[in-house]
Amino acid sequence: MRKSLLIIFHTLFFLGLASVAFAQEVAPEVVGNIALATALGMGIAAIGTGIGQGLGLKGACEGTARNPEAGGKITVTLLIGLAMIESLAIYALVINLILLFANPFI
Amino acid sequence: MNKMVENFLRNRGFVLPKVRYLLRNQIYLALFGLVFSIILLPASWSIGFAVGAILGTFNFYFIAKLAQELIYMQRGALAPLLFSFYVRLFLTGLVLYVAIVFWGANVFALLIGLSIILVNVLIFGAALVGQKLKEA
Repeated sequence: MRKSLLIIFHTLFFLGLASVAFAQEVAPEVVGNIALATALGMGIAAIGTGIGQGLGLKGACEGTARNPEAGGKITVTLLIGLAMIESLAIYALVINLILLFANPFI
Repeated sequence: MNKMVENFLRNRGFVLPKVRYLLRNQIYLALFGLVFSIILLPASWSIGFAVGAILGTFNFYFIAKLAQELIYMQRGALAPLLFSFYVRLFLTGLVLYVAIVFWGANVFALLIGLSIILVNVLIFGAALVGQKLKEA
């Protein structure tokens, strides 16, 4: 118990020292957190977009299989849906790139 | 003008008239925005808007081309959709990275340029609603 408390105390102490040492520039924890946030953000955006596009395509294929004559109308609706879903992923990508390379807060 | 663009798109394999109409409007909106931004806005805004508009238009073009083929695939349509999505996302990310980091593109202009697709879709929806109201 005492040993682990000592290790925790030392770790916190050195982390504190590191922030003092890097006070003039961006703290490394901040950079690490930003990298983690962008990775998580892009991953979640890609998952959501993938699920959304997959569901849309599934519905469109089922609709065309049931009624092949409606294929043209379904294609237009699918195209609009895909474009709108994909724009969300591109927005997330832009925000992540801003956070990584053009962050206004650091 | 409209016929010329539509013939060009038909030769590229866009057989559905409404898809051609959407794509044509997208090209017009992007070109109009480009001219507007070059004349009236500062350089960083023009670069941002141009990159956003061109990326959006190319993405829309390739989605439109893929959607026409995907809809008639009985099996295995998901793999080409996801593969093309990830390839496009990677290329878009690469271009956006270069534009933001090296070309100094304005981020708000970039977002406005990328939103042209949404404006196009909204115009299409409004036109459809207007048509339905006229018929009723």
